Amino acid sequence: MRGEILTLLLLLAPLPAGAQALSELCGAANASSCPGYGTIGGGKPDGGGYEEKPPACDPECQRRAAERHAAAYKNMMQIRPVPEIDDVAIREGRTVKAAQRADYQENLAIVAFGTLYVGRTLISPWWALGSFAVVIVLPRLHLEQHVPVVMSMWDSWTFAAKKVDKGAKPRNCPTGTLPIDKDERIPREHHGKLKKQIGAGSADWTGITPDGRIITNDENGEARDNGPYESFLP
Amino acid sequence: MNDFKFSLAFRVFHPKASIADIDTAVGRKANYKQEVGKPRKTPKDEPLKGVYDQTYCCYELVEGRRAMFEKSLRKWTRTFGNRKAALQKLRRSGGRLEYYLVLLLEGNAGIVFEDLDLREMSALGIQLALDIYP
Repeated sequence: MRGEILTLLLLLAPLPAGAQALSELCGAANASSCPGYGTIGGGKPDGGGYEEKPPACDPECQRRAAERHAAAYKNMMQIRPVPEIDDVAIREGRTVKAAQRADYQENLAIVAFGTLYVGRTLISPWWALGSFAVVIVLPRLHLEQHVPVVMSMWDSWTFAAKKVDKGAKPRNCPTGTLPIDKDERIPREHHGKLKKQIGAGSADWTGITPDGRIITNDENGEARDNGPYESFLP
Repeated sequence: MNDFKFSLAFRVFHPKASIADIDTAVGRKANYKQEVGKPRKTPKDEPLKGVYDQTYCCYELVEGRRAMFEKSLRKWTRTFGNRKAALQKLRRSGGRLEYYLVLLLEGNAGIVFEDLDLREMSALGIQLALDIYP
């Protein structure tokens, strides 16, 4: 009962400043994705409304499309209905890690989740509370299959909410990875240029693996591979 | 006082703007760029896992030695001052602007950022990032 009351209260929350329609965020990505992908969900090319059946296109194409969606969803924090466009809204700021995974089915599940259920039941300046509300409501609607997705998003959100220290060494660096200034393969004069090329911040930890891959932190504090160091030398 | 080498770049990070939008606002073509949602790749076009989570443009401005540092910084801040409206639009829409200053030191060295320069940078919303190699 408390879940329903909470959901009702959350439904009354105002649309936060900076909220964006999903269609704005996903439109460009869909337009450039593979043939067939943009037509799911009754031919809506804007990314709002998807059916659960994957589109017919080659796996590589699906992977690329899923990655674009993953990027679009990366900043998803708040989801709420926007009645005028029958869509969900997204506010930038926090990361939902589950939505970042470049796994086609998982992203599709989240899209379906957002369109069918989150869009109707969950609004939230307080995403966490909203997630609990949906977890309570979903089984009553016989939508148990989506509960793992909700829980995955909840876990991911709580994880992502922790501040990542990009100046620290990433957690899962390959053994033997050293900061670039402790390795002789990249001359000192090129360190700054390398960081400019990968878009690393001046205080971001930047390292090199024994086999020469350049590593930085991703948004979760894990190692991000930026390619072989030779790519960054003139 | 020891001499030093420096390189000054102007960088823009934005959650959703295109590279073309940023180039237009800055009035230059980016030397290094990444566009939100596009597949990641190395500078030599080798594919990497995942997609870019924001748009990034880096403009190399000047490289030199100590004697020309202050003059260069002032010159570029004035140049960007002429594009204040466009740059502020980028800031208001969630972008971040910064001078990326790489310093290659040859011993103890000093730099003074004069108040006027800092004030002009602040008015434009440009942060200063120092990358120092002793």
